[in-house]
Amino acid sequence: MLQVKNVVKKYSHQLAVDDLSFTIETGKIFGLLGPNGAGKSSLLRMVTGITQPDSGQILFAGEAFNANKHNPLIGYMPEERGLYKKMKVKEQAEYLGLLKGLPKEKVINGIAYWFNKLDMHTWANKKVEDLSKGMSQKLQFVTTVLHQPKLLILDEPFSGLDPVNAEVIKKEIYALAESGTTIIFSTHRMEQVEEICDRIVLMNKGKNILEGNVDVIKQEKKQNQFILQIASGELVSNQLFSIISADKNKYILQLNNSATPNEVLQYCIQQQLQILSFTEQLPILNDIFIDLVADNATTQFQNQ
Amino acid sequence: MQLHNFKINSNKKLAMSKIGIIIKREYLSRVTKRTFILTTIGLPLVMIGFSALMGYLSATTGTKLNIAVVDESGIFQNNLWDSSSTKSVAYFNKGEYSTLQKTYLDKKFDMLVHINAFKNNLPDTNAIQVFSESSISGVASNYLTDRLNTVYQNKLMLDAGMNRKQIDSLNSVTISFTPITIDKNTGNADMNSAIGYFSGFLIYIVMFIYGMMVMRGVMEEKTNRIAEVIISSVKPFELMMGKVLGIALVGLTQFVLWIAFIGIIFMVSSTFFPGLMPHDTMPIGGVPGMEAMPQEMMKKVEVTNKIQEFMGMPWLLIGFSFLFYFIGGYLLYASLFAAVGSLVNEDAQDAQGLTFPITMPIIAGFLIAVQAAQDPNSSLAVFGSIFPLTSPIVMMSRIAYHPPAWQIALSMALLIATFIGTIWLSAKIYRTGILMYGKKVTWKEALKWVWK
Repeated sequence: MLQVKNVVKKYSHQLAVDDLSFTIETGKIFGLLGPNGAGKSSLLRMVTGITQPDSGQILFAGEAFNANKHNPLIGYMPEERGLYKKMKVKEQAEYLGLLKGLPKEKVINGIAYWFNKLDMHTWANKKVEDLSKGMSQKLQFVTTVLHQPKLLILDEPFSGLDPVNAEVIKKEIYALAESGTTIIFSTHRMEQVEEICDRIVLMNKGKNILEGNVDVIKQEKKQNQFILQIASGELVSNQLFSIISADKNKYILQLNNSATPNEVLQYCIQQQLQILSFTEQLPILNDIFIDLVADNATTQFQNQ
Repeated sequence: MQLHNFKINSNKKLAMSKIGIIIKREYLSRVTKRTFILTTIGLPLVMIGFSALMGYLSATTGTKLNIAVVDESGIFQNNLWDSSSTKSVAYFNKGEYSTLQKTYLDKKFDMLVHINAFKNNLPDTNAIQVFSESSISGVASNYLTDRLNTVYQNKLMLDAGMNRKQIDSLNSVTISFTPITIDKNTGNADMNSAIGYFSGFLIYIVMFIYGMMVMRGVMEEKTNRIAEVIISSVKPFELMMGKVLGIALVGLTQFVLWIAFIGIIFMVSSTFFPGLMPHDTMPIGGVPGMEAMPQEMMKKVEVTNKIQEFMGMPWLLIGFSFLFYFIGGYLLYASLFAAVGSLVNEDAQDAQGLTFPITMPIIAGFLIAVQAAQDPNSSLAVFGSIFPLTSPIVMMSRIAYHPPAWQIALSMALLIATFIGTIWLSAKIYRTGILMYGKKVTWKEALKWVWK
């Protein structure tokens, strides 16, 4: 759906995007990760045609990106987003829909559909300034998807949302992906990425430092750790494993290089322990993220 | 090839319709605001009410003057003034003067006029003294001088053997001249300079009010972060121009409504005060029996004259020029104000520093216009009315004087070229500024973006 090839974007003093490449497949939820200032927003501005790359190429459905042609196929919810405070909710949605180039009747039908779906009818005639944060986020989401974009770009879509509303929006994102919409989900909140995304790119300082399928990445980065829960008894480190932490009867074990899970279990049974559960502990993205970025950051800091 | 052409056309059409959507929102969101309706209806009403009040106050409640007169010459006795609603006059004998000098204030007189006897029928420098507690007003002083002279001249004429009737008819004659210039439409100088002041001032105000409106609108979009959402659907240039043009329409609407208001008021007042209107004009000049015309009538003729002059101004030219310079000047400055709006961050104080280079030429233009309304052919006025940054204001202040056609043409051509230039320049700055958050930008930096 979208191919980013060796894209470079420079602002007066800094390199915002530095030779970045990745590919997004149709109908997938793609996570764009990175700490603040990694160049995510700069990249998204280029993908939406707001700015042009200094060099490199962006392909949309196999064609060179053309703002006039492809813009109507993109829905973009920027991180820095706002609404006209004095406008009414419905007028605002209409206005933004018309600006996307939709015919009036489609705008009206779309608004009716979404307002109904997200339960917004009761406040359709309120002024935007009277809305709660959750309400205006919902409105922003609706104005982003109103024109049925093929590519939906959401930059920190859940920031400031309460769990209930976040769940509502999340549900709609899944539904859109299922119906074939490609979604770029940009954030620095790892737990959301883990939950939602199929594939990710991790950006830092404008560069692609990690790319791939979320599950595959986790497998690659796993450190041979297991969680063991037992009903009673005592466990000590030995030649098979060392204990990283013990909380009542829940242990986290670091297996030694040669040891296998089976050997560990065998040992436990020999020790007559009542095993309740034994699972592999996969690294969470957050740790991978911090590892990679902090490494970079400390070297950067030391160099300065 | 044909397909390609078609695509470009449809894209252009789309862009046009998007500007149209933006213009519509900018226009409607302002025109339907309560403040717009209030200022549009309220301002003419306030102005009319104010001038009516001023007229009423000056006509009725001018402070009443109590004047004591001691005339030792015998020329002015009972002749200097009659008592009226605005003054009461009491004449005293020569003998009462010395006591009156000390007591006139206690006796509630504002002024004591003492006239010595004239030697050889000629007043010397100290012949007439006027006592008052504080300095007397200009109106009272002028009026006193005028009366003293008239009465004295009348006496001299009587002495010379003229009769009372001859003297009265002499007094009723006032001479004025008709200016004849090459251009037939040139009106009276007072009227021209009044129109000059007024239209110059109006353009000045308009550029400020609507320019600032554009700037505030852009700032709102930027600080609200709605700009980034919209910029992903339309080009920055479309958003900027949509706002600039939408607000131009707001300004034009306001003018049309004001003119309609003034028209209605003019018509209403003409039905209530038909004597003031030109169709009741009296024949004047060389009319037999003119000397018998009472003073009130004379005044009416004068007012009628003024109205005739007013109606005879080249309104078509003035109206057209006003429209042209309003739109031209507005486009020139509004686009610059939009650029400034795009540079401002949260801090509204930044705006002040950034607008300074823009407001400078506007204020300079106004200062030149004040001069030009008096002296429309000075080289400063001519320069100011051609130089595009000041021409909208200065040319309007000269327009009633009929400046040469080449000057108007040159001024207009330069204005068009310049506003195209400033729009281009502003669009370049705007496009970068509108998406730049949290950084304080100076003009110097902003101008670098233009060439990027």
